[in-house]
Amino acid sequence: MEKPKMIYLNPTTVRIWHWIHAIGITTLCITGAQIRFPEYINLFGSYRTAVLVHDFTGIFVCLDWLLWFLYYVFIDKSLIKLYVPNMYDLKTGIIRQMLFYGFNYFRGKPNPHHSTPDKKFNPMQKGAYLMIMTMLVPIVLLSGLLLLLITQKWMIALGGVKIVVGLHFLVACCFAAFLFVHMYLATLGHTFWAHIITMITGWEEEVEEH
Amino acid sequence: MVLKVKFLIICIFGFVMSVTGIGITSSSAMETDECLECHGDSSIIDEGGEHLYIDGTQFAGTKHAEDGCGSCHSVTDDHPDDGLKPSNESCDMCHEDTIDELSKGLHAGNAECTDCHNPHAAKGLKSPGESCGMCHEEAVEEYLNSSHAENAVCSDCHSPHTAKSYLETSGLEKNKQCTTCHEGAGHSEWLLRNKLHMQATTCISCHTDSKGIVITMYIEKRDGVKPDKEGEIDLATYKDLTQLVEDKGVQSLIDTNDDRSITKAELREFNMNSKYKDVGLWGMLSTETASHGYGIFEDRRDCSFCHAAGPKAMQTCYVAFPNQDGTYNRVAVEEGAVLDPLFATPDFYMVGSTRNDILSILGLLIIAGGLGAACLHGTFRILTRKNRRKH
Repeated sequence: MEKPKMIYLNPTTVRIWHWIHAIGITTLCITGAQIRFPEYINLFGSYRTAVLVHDFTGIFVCLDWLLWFLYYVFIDKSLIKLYVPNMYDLKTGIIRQMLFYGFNYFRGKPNPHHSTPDKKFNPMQKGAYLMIMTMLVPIVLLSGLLLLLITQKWMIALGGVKIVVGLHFLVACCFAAFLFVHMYLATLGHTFWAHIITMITGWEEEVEEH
Repeated sequence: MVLKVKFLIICIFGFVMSVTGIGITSSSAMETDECLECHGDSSIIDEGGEHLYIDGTQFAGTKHAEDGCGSCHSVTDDHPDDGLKPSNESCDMCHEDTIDELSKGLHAGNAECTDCHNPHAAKGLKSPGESCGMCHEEAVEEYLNSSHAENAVCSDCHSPHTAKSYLETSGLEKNKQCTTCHEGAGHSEWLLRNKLHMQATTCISCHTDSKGIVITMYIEKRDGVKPDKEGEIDLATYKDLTQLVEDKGVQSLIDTNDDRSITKAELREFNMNSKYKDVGLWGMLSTETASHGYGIFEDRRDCSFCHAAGPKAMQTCYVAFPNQDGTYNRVAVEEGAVLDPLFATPDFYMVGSTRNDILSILGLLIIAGGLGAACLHGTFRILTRKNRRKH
């Protein structure tokens, strides 16, 4: 039996960054839910524990975001190539990918995008990840740091603590929503576990579409 | 004509008396020691003169002893056989500033100096029970039963000469009374955001069983919103605010229709008015009543005591405006103002307790959207799995 062709899609740094982020964001969502709705949610024991875990995890995720940024900008130098949609993506790529997920996938049609180390993300992923990593993550982390440090004058300059809290909460909800979608889409490989295994080992089986 | 003759006689009588030294004299002429020969003898008590007895040892330790009896009392040479009551000088002869202070405080008209001070014995106040307890019986009883009573007397926290009512005193002033002794009280070992809690909560909200937790907003100075490290709260004075309202009352700064009630719309208008960019509202958790039963309550160490109280517990709010005399005048705010999502109280947020329901629902809808999309796609995925097997 012929061995399937394997491609090395996710280097070790990327995998470490990804799983720290995955665990971190999940922890932040759960502790954040307890902090906002303490009457209904108590998964971390005391309120104080939830706040402490939230604070430390938040700092850890900040550092992890820095790792992502430094790796893709200065080491791999592939941030623009991997994350910024090109003209083809914007004109037709995104629509084709949306058609695939929303229609052609159910008809059994092949995925129009084939991942390679240089084109790891499909046009929809590019747009989504670019917005998440360069806008939503910095917003939620910076607002979180402000709430952690509680520098009143900075809060006032931004319009008040409630604006910072509201922004932090709504963006965090976007992350919680993203987690569900992301985890689900991770099962849409050629097998249920294919993408998940790739994110653990770094290697993905190249599938020939017919 | 008759009046003129009477006046002449009185003048001549007065002149003769003063030249001959006959008549009323100050007791200093008699010397303090002479006074104490009788008034310092405890047998005077047995003769029914308890109020006339002066403990010479105690009196000698007072500042008044240096001035002598005669500085306040005048007697005739025939005292006590003249049957006249010695005169009493009033305290304001020497303590003019204190009396002036007293006249502006709550005690004015309600208490005499001697209700609290014994000029013949103590350097300061009488004991709490004897002085403050005469009127504030319940508070003193409660206080004397607390552990605090071993370490401080009433006047260590309350200045009787500038007495203000509890609700007329700002939260920061209340806390200042505590930090005089308890500066840097050890909360940081267990309390997260220690400094913020100290600035946004009155000490007695946690250290007494005072009832009725409310949020009181004070107007603070912000001077151009410069980011700083200290973050100290600097409350605006009456004078500061009069410059903003010109010829109107300071209350009109927020209560624009002057109906002694502040709506959320009025709060938003104040917070979004660029004219008032150098002032803002600083909210503090305080209580409606003051209990003197001080203590350390273990349940207050649990953050849930305040933060999991639920939004309904934090609906009552006031804005306290400074008065000219340094007291504060509270005006009630529309219920639920602190739960407003953004601009009614933009700088007051108690995590968990003052969350806004609309934002919560919006957030939950976003999460439900993500979960719903995954579930919907998954359902169609299962229903159409045969199509993918073909390929």
